[in-house]
Amino acid sequence: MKKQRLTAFLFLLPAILLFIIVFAIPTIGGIYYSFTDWSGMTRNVRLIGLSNYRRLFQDPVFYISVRNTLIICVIVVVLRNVAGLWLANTLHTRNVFGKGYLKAVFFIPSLLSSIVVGYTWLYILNVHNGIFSYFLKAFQVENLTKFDVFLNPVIAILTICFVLIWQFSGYNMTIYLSGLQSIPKSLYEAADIDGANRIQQFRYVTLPLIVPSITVCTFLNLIGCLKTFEEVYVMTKGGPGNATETIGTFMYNSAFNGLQMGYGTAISTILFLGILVVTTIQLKASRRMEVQI
Amino acid sequence: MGNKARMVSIALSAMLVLSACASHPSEKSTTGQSQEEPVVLKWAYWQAEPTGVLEKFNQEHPGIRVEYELISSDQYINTMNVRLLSGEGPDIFEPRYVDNYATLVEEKRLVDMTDEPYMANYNEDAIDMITAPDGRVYGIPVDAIAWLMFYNKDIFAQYNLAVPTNWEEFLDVCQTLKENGIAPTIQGCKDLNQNQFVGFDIVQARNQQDSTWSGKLETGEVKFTDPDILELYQRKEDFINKGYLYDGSIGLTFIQSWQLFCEGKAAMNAGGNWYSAQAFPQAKPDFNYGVMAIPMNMKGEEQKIPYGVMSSLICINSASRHLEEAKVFFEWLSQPENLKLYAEELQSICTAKDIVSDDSEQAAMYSQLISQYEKYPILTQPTGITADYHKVVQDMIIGNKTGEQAAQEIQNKLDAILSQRQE
Repeated sequence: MKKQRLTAFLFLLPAILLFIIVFAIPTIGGIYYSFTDWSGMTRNVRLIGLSNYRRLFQDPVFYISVRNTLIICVIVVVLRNVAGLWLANTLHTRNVFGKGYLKAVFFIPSLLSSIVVGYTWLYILNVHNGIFSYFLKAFQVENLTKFDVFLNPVIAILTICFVLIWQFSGYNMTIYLSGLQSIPKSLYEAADIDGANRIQQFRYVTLPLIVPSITVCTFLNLIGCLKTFEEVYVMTKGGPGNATETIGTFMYNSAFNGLQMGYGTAISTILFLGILVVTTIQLKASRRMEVQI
Repeated sequence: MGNKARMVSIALSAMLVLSACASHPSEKSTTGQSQEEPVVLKWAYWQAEPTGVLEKFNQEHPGIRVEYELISSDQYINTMNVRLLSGEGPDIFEPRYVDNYATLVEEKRLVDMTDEPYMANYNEDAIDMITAPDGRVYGIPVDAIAWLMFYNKDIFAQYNLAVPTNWEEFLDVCQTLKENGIAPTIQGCKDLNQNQFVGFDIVQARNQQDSTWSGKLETGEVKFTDPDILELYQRKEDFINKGYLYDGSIGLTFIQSWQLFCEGKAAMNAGGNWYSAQAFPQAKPDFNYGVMAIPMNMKGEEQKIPYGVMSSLICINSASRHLEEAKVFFEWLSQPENLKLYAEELQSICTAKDIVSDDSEQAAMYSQLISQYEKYPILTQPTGITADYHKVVQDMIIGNKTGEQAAQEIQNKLDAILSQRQE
């Protein structure tokens, strides 16, 4: 038994070492720096206790960034799941022409770098010299600026949400497809005999059995949305003003543009704790809903 | 494994070892002399690449090759600091900002250049601006920059407008342009640092009266909420509210704003002299353009030009593995003819003693303009509030904040940093 344990430990050792080096040490280091006044441009570090956290909770931009991040989380997580499930269910149940090709097309955006996606949409939506501007000019629109989606803070946030949904709905689709394919056909046959229509079959057979897929998708999307940074930074840089600031861009601006690494790591520590709490609650809630076949 | 297989594997291993130890035939020339690879010096900077200058140096020094890396201005300081801290810093770089320069000097990360004989080739005022608090000099002021206002001469001529010499005249010019359906000014406000050019920059406007003012922000001696600064923010707010900024500037990047300026969509665009080298190659104006001093002064006050070498100070990384080669490059670049070539290629202002850049039309235009005004050093807001300083202007543009609220917010941010320092 002892030898077996040792063998298991030796097999796990490379992964444990990797985890310690690339995750545990930087995380502990980050937490340590959140209690310092490290600027990022000097080796001199001074411990200042909870000062960064006190300052953070008094900073109005922090609350704006939390609000925006939560808005993005709610809109994107819900709509990405709905879109992913709808795509998967349609491709799974209907005899769609070019099914394999469509699966690839829907999945491709998730393979692209977020920076590339951000710049691509920025170019498409640019009202001055982007693709969108050609359409506006074709309709002889005089004041192109009125159609700039990044000028109005609400529309800017919704545009960011749209891009985030567009990018990863195909990824959710593949997870839902695998979930749908694991449901035995006999259950649908039994429901059919009992007189259930398509909506009832989806509600009482499909949905309870794909809860594990919903859990995985929600879990991954929630973490991704809480960390939203690249798309926002590329498209709006958190602006205009702080209107589209997320926790990610707020952290970046504080740490790198403001050269306050200590403050930046305090923000990232709060973000880490937030993700930990939200995902723990979400995991526990969804475990209760899962149904075993 | 049989003996035969073992022998084959030993032979193959031996061949591998021998081939690894053997020198590559291309490393030796036909004359038998070793053709060593040149030492590569990495130079990271935010201005346009001086390709002609580097080509000349690389030709004259076959043993050294300078490789240039262009980093965008708004990402420069954070990229550079991360690299320096991780030990991956370039051989040559610009320290950016007075406080960052002082920190790098304090940590001995820059090579002391004070006693190099070629430092005498530079203008004394340029050397004064880069003298560290310890009285030593840790780099070379490769050129000088100035903040200016570019304007469309054709539009000005069309409406019989004279170049404004003070704030009141500037507002009159803007009003005339607006009444004739021309956007008076345009800036790429999506890029944070472009917001400082909306109307005028608060710090430069105040430093114009007292060049030590921005330094006092760090000590808390002066505040953004002082009545004189609130008045400046009020002027900025009025400028925005009167519609003198191109509608949509907030959604434009620096390059886009220049493109629109070059298309004649607005009459003026404020910025640095380096814009013509960075932006015009991509967006050439098909009209006559000129430069003027930004009219920040009120009527009766002297008009001055923000001018500096801090942003064009290049230093040698003390951790560089090629210190000697970097010094060779600095010595070569510091020769008056090479500094002149550099200034003309980058359309900037030459810092060599008694040399005026006149071979390039733009460089000559800048030199001529600057010679007409008193200069004062470009000093920026404290580094810790850089992003917020620009973001409050964005808020003013979209109507989220008044000038007073903007000033209050930026002072709150600064107070938080200063009180943390005192803990």
